[in-house]
Amino acid sequence: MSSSSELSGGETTAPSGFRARVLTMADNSRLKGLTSLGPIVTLLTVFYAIPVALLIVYSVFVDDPFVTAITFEHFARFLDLSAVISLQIGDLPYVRLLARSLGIAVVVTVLSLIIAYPITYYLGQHAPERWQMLLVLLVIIPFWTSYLIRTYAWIPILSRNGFINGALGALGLPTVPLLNTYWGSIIGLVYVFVPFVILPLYASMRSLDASLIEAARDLGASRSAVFREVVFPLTLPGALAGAVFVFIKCAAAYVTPALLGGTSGRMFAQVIETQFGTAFNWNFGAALSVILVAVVLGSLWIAMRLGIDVGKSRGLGGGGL
Amino acid sequence: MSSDLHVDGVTKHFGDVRAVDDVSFTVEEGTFVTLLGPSGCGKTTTLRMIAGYETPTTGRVTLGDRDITDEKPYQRPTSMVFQSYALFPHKTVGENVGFGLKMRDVPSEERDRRVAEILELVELPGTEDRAIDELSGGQQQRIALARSLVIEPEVLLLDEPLGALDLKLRKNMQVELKDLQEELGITFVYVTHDQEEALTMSDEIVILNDGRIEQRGTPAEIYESPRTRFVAEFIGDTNLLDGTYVATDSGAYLECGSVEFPVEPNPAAESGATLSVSIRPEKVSLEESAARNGGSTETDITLDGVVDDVIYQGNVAKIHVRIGDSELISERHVVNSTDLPTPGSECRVRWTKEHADVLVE
Amino acid sequence: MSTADGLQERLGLNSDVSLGLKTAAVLTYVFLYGPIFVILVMSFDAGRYGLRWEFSPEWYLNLATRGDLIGSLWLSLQIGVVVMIVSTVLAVVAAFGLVRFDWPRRKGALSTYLIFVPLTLPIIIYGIGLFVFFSQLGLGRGFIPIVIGHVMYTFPFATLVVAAGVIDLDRSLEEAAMDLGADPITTFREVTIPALMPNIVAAALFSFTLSFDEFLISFFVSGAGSIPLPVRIWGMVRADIEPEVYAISVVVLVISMTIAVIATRLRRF
Ligand SMILES: Nc1ncnc2c1ncn2[C@@H]1O[C@H](COP(=O)(O)OP(=O)(O)O)[C@@H](O)[C@H]1O
Ligand SMILES: [Mg+2]
Repeated sequence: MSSSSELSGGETTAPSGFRARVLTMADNSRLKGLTSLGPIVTLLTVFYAIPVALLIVYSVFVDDPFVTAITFEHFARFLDLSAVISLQIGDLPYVRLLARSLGIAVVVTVLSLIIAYPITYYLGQHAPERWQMLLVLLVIIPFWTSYLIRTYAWIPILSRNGFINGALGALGLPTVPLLNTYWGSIIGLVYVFVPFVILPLYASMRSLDASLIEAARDLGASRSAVFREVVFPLTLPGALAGAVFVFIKCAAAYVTPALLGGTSGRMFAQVIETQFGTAFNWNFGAALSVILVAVVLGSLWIAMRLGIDVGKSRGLGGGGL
Repeated sequence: MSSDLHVDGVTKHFGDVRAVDDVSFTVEEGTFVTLLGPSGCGKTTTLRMIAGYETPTTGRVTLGDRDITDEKPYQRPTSMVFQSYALFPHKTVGENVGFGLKMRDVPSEERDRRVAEILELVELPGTEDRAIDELSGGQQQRIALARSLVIEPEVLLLDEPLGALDLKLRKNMQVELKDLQEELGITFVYVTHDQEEALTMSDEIVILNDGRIEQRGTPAEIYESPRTRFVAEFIGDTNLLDGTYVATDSGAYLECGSVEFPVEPNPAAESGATLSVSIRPEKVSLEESAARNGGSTETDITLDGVVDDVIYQGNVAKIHVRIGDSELISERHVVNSTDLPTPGSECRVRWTKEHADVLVE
Repeated sequence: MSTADGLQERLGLNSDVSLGLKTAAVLTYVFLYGPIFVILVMSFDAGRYGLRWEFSPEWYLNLATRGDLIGSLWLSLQIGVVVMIVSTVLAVVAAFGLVRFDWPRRKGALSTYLIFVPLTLPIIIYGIGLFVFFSQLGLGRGFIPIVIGHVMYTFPFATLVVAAGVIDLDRSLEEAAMDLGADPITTFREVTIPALMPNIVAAALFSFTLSFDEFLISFFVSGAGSIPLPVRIWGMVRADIEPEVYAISVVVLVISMTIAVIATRLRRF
């Protein structure tokens, strides 16, 4: 070996001063944990938890918090008990709006699943290995680009003299109203949210052992039986993880119904925005916000109780929504 | 100053798991010692305590006169070669090998020179600028070795370093590693679960089982004179005969059903105990009845039996012989496969007393 | 092989099924990219309400004269860069905090929930909450409120990306560095951070695009003086589509898509 045996003790020079202090601190794992999560938890508390909690505070005061009286009138305005008792559904506009939003969320979720299954089955099990990365990348890219722009792009497609109706007209078919309708909201939402189902479902399809499919085929199952008996049950967890995410995000959608939904496609988040934007009734808006958050957290809770692994969709990020 | 490594009464708990239980051994300076045992027996934990990644729950680790138990890994004159190699993927071969020298503020010229020197030693000269992922598994192994050797540690720790290589490469590397260790005279503490590897390379073997030391000794001692049933079964193949151990002033016997034969006395075994005796198959010679004329010496034990089965394995054959209720395997080199006995024929087996080792649990 | 299989083979049904899947996949891609293509087409359309499409770069040329749009684009880029830096630093620290330390069971779970709540609650609620919060503080709207809102919103995503890297990081790399004489600080600088670099860069790029494209939070906390591009685009779309909106949108799409491609390639799947 070489001659520099003074090094063979393997010692490094003893650190001193500030560095030494940092090193002793680094030895204490509790301290390390505290310095790494402490500032973040503080920031989240001040700038996330408090602002959201502020809405809860606003929702239970007549007007300015802590100055005016505590009240439940804002919640009563949402759920008018006399109207409930007399079954005057027409007198419950906010409940009806919430119900319509949840209905739209269900329809969007189902349509997203229907669209997601064939493409992910193809990508996960049939697509040539060489192209797979690229094909998946093509699904991810729109996911990370401005949903605002991608949504308003539907205006020239759906409008009365837009691309779709233009095509229908050219074929001699009657035109259909799409923009500013219920279906406008639905088409726009499916468009924005379908990648949230495709990506977790693709992950499930990909990890599905192809030999299971071959074994089922070998035992005499037809293609549709293979899908029904093997592929569908094994990939359902991935699909449901994405579906839950789509449902809760749709229930609170604002941009898409505002741009494409018109009156018949109006959704709950829009009426919340109105309270702050034009009606200047912050307290009522806050109460509606609390209700929306309760619905979202309730849906998540139910999903978790049903054994759906909601965390699965989380790791895929979620461009701008 | 001698710098023997002493592991002294070391115990390590992980929660309720006792991974290492009161382990003591000494590694003399410049020797090659192997910690051998099945997976989960505490080898890695022991090694990591020597390296400084784990602190013993009780016990001390000393190097010469220096107590290193509480020293940080980066303060100890030890270095570890990881099973995964742990080569830095974002650094070149040269930067990897020179890393330890850089940490010791060795000037870059000397660093380059020593890196080149050590790369020569591991037979990968001139690879300084290569990226790690351009190297094969065997080459990465050598680089990991070079990276540890270049800082001239007093003790080199190796945790199953050949585990990821294929059989042929592994055999070559075993020999090379041993040669390198002898050439450099560095103390090696080597961990493996492969008994053949341990026998091939070590000056001394420490056999661990369930966190405890079962037996330590040279490869020959371990193989030829196993002291416990675990060691006898773990190292090589063996015949185990169960019976009652009888120790008298004139010698020791094993009563084994209808037969009784002398064995080497074992001070750890109590007279009257039920235990096993191990006889290695190649120590059992076999004579066919027709040629039963060999002169028996005083220490020879002979028993009559019937050939049950003959298993031909190329250079050797294993002949299963039924003697009363028990079966004994005799192993012999095959010179001519037509010379092997036929199943069903009568035969006599023979071994000498020194080869019958009394085992304790 | 089963008889059904053989039959299907003979009738060519096999290829029909995968042809069906392939068609469905192609249609899905058309669905995903059609609208983006429409934006591109419209951005080069000369006639504003014309029935025939005619190529013209005039809207792009007009952009140069639209000081408001350029100003907003510049503001969005500035916000994006600040958010990217803050969010990535926080994410690296948080990822280590979450992955590396043995927390007493309850505290660890609590900080995990707190960090990931922003991923699940509706963003419009957070935007409104932040608006109310800053109004109460009398800070009003503008650059700082937008940056704070965006950091809270991007950093959980960034943390997920970095944490995935920390989880995958081979601990023995750091042990090897210490073994060779590097103290914990040097090890972190020389080995840990470089080995995590792909994840850190991906987290930074994702933070940037998320902030750059973010609309709802900005919508509530941006003020007269500082209007980020998405809010400006919203205004243009709501009022009456001005043709320049397509051109500026294409600019936005190109920026985000480029970043998304780079980031996705860096991220380990
Ligand atoms: N960090 C740890 N935490 C808890 N248990 C551990 C840890 N490291 C090792 N063990 C346990 O200690 C025992 C010995 O492990 P190890 O030293 O890795 O064995 P070997 O290297 O011989 O396979 C095993 O039961 C293992 O599960
Ligand atoms: Mg091990």
